[in-house]
Amino acid sequence: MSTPSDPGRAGPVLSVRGLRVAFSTARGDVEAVRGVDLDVRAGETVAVVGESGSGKSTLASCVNRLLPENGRITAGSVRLGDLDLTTADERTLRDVRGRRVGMVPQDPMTGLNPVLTVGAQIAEALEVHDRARGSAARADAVALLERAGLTDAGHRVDQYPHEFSGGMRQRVLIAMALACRPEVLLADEPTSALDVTVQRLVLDQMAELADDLGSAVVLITHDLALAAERADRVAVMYRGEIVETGPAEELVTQPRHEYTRRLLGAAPGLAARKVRDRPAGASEGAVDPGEESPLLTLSGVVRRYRVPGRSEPLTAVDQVDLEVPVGRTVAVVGESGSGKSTTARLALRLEDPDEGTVHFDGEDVTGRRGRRLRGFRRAVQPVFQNPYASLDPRYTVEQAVAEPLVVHRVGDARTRRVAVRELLDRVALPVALAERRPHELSGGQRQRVAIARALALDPRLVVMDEAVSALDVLVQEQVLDLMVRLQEELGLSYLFITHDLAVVRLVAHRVYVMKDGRIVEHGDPEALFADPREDYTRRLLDAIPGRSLARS
Amino acid sequence: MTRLRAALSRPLVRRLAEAVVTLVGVSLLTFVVLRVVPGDQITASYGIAAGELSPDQIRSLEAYYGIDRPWPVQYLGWLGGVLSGNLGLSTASGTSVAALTAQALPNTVELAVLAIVVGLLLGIPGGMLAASRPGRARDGATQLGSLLSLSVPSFLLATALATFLANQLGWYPNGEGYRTLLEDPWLNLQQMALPALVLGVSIASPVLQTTRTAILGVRSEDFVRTARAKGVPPRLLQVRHVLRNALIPVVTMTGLQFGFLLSGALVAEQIFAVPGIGRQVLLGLQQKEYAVVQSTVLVIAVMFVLVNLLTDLVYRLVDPRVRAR
Repeated sequence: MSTPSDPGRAGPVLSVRGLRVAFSTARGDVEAVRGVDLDVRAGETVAVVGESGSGKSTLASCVNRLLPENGRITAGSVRLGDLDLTTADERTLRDVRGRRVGMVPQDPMTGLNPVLTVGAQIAEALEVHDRARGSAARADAVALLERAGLTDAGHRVDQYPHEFSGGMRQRVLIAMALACRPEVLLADEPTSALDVTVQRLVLDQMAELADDLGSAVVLITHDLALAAERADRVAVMYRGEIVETGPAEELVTQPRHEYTRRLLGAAPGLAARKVRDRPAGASEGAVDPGEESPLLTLSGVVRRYRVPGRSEPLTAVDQVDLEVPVGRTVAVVGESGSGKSTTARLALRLEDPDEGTVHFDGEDVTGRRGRRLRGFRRAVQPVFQNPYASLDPRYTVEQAVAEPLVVHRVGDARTRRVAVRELLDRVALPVALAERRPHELSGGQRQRVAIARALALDPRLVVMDEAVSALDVLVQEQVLDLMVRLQEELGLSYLFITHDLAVVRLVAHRVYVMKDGRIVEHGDPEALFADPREDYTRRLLDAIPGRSLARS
Repeated sequence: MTRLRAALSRPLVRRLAEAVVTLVGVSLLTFVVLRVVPGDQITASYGIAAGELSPDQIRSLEAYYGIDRPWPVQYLGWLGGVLSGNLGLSTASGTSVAALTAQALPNTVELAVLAIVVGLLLGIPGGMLAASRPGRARDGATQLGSLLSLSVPSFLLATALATFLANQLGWYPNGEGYRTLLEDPWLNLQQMALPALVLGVSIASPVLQTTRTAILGVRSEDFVRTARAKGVPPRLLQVRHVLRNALIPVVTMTGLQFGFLLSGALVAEQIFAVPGIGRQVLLGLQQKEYAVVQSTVLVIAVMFVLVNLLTDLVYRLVDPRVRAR
């Protein structure tokens, strides 16, 4: 897809040619971008898609020349109009940044200066480029915030970042990035840190505003479905190279490169369902045949929290009834703040319900503590979202996986060693990894370690709190496959907490939709997704990127 | 202002309650330690002659000094006095502890403020300098300087400085008898210069380290990258975005140091003949004047608590996130 400069058409506003970037590391130079060509025309949206480590963010930071200190451009050019950014001096670059190239960072929670009001930060973007000063800059900031979709902008302009939610902060950052009407807007995973329903809104508003101001958008994302939906053209990046470029629709319907095909196959919005409801009466492996006997039952559980500065306690979980049958996967979905994580903690008995009961395997375990809770603790194991945070950095993989055995005094050093090998084998990790520490593993490997640790005590129920949300699609697919395989082999039950309905569709036998601490709808995922009764469920479904693509 | 007050109201009540408990604890500890240590005001005033006193004499002296009553009665008596504004009497000089403190405390506060100013003036730019090129020569040099200032004892630095200046330049203002700021501002400031410098140097080191670490931490924050992506020039970036945020932990560190300085920089006060609160405690201890020591230590503890409250206030000013809580 090379477009030679066509006199009839406007030339590209941004043109990358033969770009190479190397990082100097302790183990020598590592090449992150290897000969990339990319054109972006005025007003166009181009998505760069790839998994983490593919070099897509590095590519973006070459455009505003904010590479990390150990990175350098070794070859090629990045032209913005007539200006070659790879050879421009710092003064010129400062003039380009913000004025001609805007940037929306990935994480809105950390992207704003906590000690300055949002108004001051937007005004600053205008002031450093002499677009406006003082009260004029402030008025512009208000107008920009309004256009970015912030209600009550006149009042909120004087607030500090901590007074805004993640979605609101991202709108502030978008307003800031577009303040000087840049020719190019770099959006590096602009919504991956946000709730699904908010994601959609923020992307809509960003697209609209960029369109109004005539800025071309370079959208960096790991989500091919999202890219295909949002961009005019999509470039797929793999190991520092662009392996395929094309109009969004064409790329999704007729992928030419093997890697694109794999990405498409793994995208949860597009992939095929991984589990089937077994026909009644059919017995299979260790799983109870016939009717579903409940393993975990929450009945009418309520959990309230005291909030400082408020006399009324906050009801995080309100009259929730939920049942996890033996050998099945039950998903709880909802936005952040819907109470789904608290429900998981109640199911794990990490918190006590204020009302209601928790039954496990027919026994009431609500009031159990200490020694009497031991059996329950063994049978129910958690896997959390961030495997890096949930694994002790000083423990080797072997120590981490063996820890539950040590805590529950199972076996001796020698039998534990054997057990660890078996567990690693079970989650498809090479035994050679046993001596490594978490920082030496990839995200997918870490999550496998976390799963192996959860399996150490032969649990019957595994509670997965956003356990695959932080993983790249291909890795996510592998972990989901592993989950399903383990369920078939061991008859495990899963309580699967997530915000991602697309993933739910793939693995869940039953789904509960939570909103404001209540279950608003539940049932079989296929049926529920085909015909959602609640508006809220519909909004969650609409938020799955690439739904339109899946249907076509 | 109302916003500030609203934010303060609840934590303030809690802090005050904590402060009361702290003060009672400090006073009890001082009281007990003073009495457990061998010797009392009689042995302190009479020296070896105390051994020749008859039991009757001792008893009447004990009654005179008020140390014949049981400990709880002594303590409550002292506490009652303090609560009604009577800090007790220094029997040796015949002046009230309140009057002594009124003379000594301003000197200590003045010295502490000057020392903090010196410490911040050395520490913050030093930290910025060290952080500007981490791991390079400049960083190494400032780090070495800070390590030296931390390891050289202040009495050594103080005497060395004083000796050098007096011998080589003939300048030793502290030899002329202390004048307060109000009596003779010019001489007072000269007299304060050396102790403030010596104390400032010792404070500069932790301030420098805190500043350096904070700057390095803030510099890798996402919002700094956001600011750079806006085209913010380096100087503005350094001051508005990096330093503003890096100062938050420096405020905490400074408050802590200020508290220690207010408890009387005994060594500096002693060497440079500044009649401050530290010397008052020392004199009280030498004379075994229980009331003097107890009350002065209490005053010091109150100052400490006040400084902590002040630090909290400043904290609220520099960090909007704390304001909201």
